[in-house]
Amino acid sequence: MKDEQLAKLISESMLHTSADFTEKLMARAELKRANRKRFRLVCFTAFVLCGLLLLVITKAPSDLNLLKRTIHLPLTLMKVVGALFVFTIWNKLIRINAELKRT
Amino acid sequence: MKENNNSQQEDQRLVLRIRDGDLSAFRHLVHKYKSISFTLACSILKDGDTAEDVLQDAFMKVFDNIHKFRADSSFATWIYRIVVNTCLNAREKDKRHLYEDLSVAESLPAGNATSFDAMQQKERERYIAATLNMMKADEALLLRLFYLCELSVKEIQEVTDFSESNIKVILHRARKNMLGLLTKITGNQLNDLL
Repeated sequence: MKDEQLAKLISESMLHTSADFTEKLMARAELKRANRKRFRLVCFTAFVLCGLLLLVITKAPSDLNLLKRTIHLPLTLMKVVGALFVFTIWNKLIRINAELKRT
Repeated sequence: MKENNNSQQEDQRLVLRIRDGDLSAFRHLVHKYKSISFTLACSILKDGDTAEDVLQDAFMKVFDNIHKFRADSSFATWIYRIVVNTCLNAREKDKRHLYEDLSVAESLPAGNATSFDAMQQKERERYIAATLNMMKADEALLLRLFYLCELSVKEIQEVTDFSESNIKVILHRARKNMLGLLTKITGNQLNDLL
């Protein structure tokens, strides 16, 4: 049997998706793109906030004069809490990113 | 559907636009490749609904990984590879393929002496699609990659990871099996099919 004849037969086996296939797919793609944009914005905001927090913690004086009162700041505790906060945010962002990749 | 130079250039342009965030270019790409990709998916998965769901996942992988496509290779081959791999992974997870499904043949009207040529186009398509659906996944897939997608043996190697000799053996076997099955289910003589 000739190849052209077989090719003709097989070309008649082309199948077609349902009518809403493309629309469903495009909705998924748009949602994914929107989520990626939101995630980038969240990442940027988190990065800035964490940076400011670390700056405050590292540069904060041990004694703060406020309203004619002297407040003693527990710097070590602040650094520990600050570091924990930054790592929690970082962990959250990694989880969200992994979830985005799965969808 | 031989991918000529114009088609390749069009694909390259679409890829660049998708990388820039143009979703309409992605829509255009989906429209161009969805039918043939769906046909390939059905070759492996044998079920239309499952093939559509898996194909959606495959196209999302294309969307996510479009930045990894190298412009020096064929885009059609790249997309077929993703579709085939996604379908094979889905097939591995669902072990139903281990059981032979005879319902396809049973749903067709019994073959009679009417010449295949005399059948309406739609009826011919049903018989041919049913025949390919009854064949082994690798045979149906290779027949379609070779004759429908018009890929060379080398390109089929890139899509499937089969060796060149394996591809030739499977194609040879698939041709024989397809005609044998088609003859059986339509009740036609071999010559009447051509």
